[in-house]
Amino acid sequence: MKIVLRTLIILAAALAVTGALWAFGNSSLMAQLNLGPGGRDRSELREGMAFPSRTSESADTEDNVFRFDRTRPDFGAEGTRPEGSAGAKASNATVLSASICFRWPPSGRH
Amino acid sequence: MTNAVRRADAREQRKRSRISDTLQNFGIDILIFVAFIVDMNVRITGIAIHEWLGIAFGVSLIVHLLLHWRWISAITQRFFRRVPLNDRINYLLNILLFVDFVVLVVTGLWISEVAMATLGLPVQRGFAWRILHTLSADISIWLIGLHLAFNWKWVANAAKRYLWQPIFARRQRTPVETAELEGAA
Repeated sequence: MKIVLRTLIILAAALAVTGALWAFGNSSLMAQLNLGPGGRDRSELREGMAFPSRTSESADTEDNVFRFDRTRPDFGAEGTRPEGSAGAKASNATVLSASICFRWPPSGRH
Repeated sequence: MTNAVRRADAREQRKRSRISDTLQNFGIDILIFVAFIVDMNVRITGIAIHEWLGIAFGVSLIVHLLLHWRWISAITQRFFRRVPLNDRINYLLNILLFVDFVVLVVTGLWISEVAMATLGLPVQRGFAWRILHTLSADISIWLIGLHLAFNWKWVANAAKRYLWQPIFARRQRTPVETAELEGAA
C-alpha cells in the first residue's frame, strides 16, 4: 500500500513537470523555436528531410537545400554544401541554427 | 518450541537469506547507469532500442526513487529546519535531476518515431521538443556527474564491499581455504 502511494506521489510530481512543459509548448516561445530564421515552420522537420533555406521561393536545388541528416559523419562540416554559392550563403543562418541544435556535442547524441 | 520463538526464528532466517538493501540499491543503480550510457549513444543502439530503453529508464527511475524514499522523506521533512549543507545541496540537485529526467523522457515520448507508434499512441512531433530533448540530455550528463560526486562515498563503499572485496578476497584465498569455506557453508 505504501509503495503504491509513493509511486503515485512520484507520478504526480512527474505529471506536474509534464504539465509545465505542455504549457510551455503552447507558449509563444515555443512558436518561435518552431520557426526557422526565415519564418518557415520547422515543427514537422525530421531527419532526412530537406531543410528549407531562407530563399525558399527559389526551387529546391542542391544549392539552397541543406540535407537535415545528423547521422552523416560529415554533418554540418565545411564543404558538405557548395561553398560560395548564393544558396549556400543564404542558408547560412539556417545551417548555423541547425548545427547549434544538433551538432553539439560532436558525438552526435540524440 | 513456542510459536513466538518459531516466528522469530523464521524472521531471522528470512533476514539472513535476504539480499541486503545496499546490494539491491547498488545493483539497480549500476543497471540504471549502464542503461543511461548505452541510451545516450543513439548511433550505436539505433532509434528503436534508444526509445524502448528510454522508457525502461523512466520506469527504473521510479524504482530508484522508491528505494531511496526514506532519505527523500527525511530531507523533505527537515529541509527548512536543520539539515547539513551537503544534504541540502544534494536534495536541490536531485530535484533538478528529476525535473530534467522528466523533461528528457516526456519529450522523448513526444518525438518518438517507433515506440509510440508501436503502442498506437499519437505523438505531437515538434522541432522545439527535439531541441528540448537534446538540451535536457546534455544537461543530464552534468547533473548525473554531480549526483555521483555527491554520493561518491556511498558508491565507493558499496563497490568496495560488493565488487572489490569479493573478487580480491577470493583471489587471495588458497585452494584449501576455499574448500574449507565451501565446506562450512
